[in-house]
Amino acid sequence: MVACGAFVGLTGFFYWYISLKFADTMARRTKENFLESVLKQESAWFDANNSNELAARMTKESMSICKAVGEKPGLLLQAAGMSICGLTIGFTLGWSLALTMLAIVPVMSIVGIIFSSAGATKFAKSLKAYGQSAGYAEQALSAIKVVVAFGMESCEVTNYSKYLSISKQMGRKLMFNSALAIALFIGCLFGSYAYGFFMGGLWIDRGYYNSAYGRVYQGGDILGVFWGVLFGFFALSTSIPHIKAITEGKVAGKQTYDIIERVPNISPSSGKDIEVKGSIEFKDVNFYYPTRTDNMVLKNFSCTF
Amino acid sequence: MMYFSWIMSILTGIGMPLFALFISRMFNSFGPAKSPEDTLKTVT
Repeated sequence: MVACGAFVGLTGFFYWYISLKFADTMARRTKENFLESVLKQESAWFDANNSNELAARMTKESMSICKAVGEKPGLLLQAAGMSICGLTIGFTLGWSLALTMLAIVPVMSIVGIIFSSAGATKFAKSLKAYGQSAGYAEQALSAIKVVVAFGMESCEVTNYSKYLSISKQMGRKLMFNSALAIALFIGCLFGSYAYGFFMGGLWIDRGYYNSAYGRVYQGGDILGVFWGVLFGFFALSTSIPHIKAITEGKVAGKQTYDIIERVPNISPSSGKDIEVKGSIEFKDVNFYYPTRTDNMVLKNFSCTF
Repeated sequence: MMYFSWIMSILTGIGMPLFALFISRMFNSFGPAKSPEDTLKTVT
């Protein structure tokens, strides 16, 4: 057991060290390439893409990519290995008891779903309300002279507080739901322990035959089956968020690499030194911004520099 | 290196349930379960 513990510790260390190092390098390179590509883009591209959002997008998307290529695939493989190994051990040590233990799976699954989704909607609404109140504050502060000139301070405070109170209500509901979900989860966890050991005790008391060893069930069989099934099931249930994170990383990667690989229509540096002689002439030039095609800026413009 | 880390993660995953097997073996090595009455008879 000590050797097994040392082995798991060592493999766990190598896995975390290498995956985090790899993810960190990947995130740094992605950010560098993203910024380099954004700085190369022509002005028209910034009309279609909000330049204020780009920095936040760069951080958020590189974090998603970082997770999807770093720890998450390894955690998913770890969960797969653990569930296969755990369930195999459980069913090998005593299939009849292992089947009985599986009765807790639907209950634990339902509680797990409630636990993971508890308050997700409330959290989103709370964030939205915070965003709206912050928007009011930002708007008021950026035009503070106008607000003061028209005596609208109390009105702005009311607007700001209106969304904050929504956020407060959502926060309370969120905390209540989270507390309820945690209580359910812990109750179910200890309930499963009670059920598992009760059934194990029953199996020993009734002297059920264990075909794996060719004798009746013993205490060690009960422990092995119980922990094997529990390890296997928990590994399976925890793998769902890893799959979700990998999918999110793929989406973020597509969006980021679309920008990184985009070739600008007008390149700022062709890489050649060009000597310019003579004059530049504009003749009958028509121009409109790509995002406002109905608004002509230049019409039949002619000029010589 | 990434593939190496994935192999390490699978080994970590397999290693953890092995404890269940070892604990089972260890408890079984103590012998079959006895009822409290049998234990009392042995003691007295």
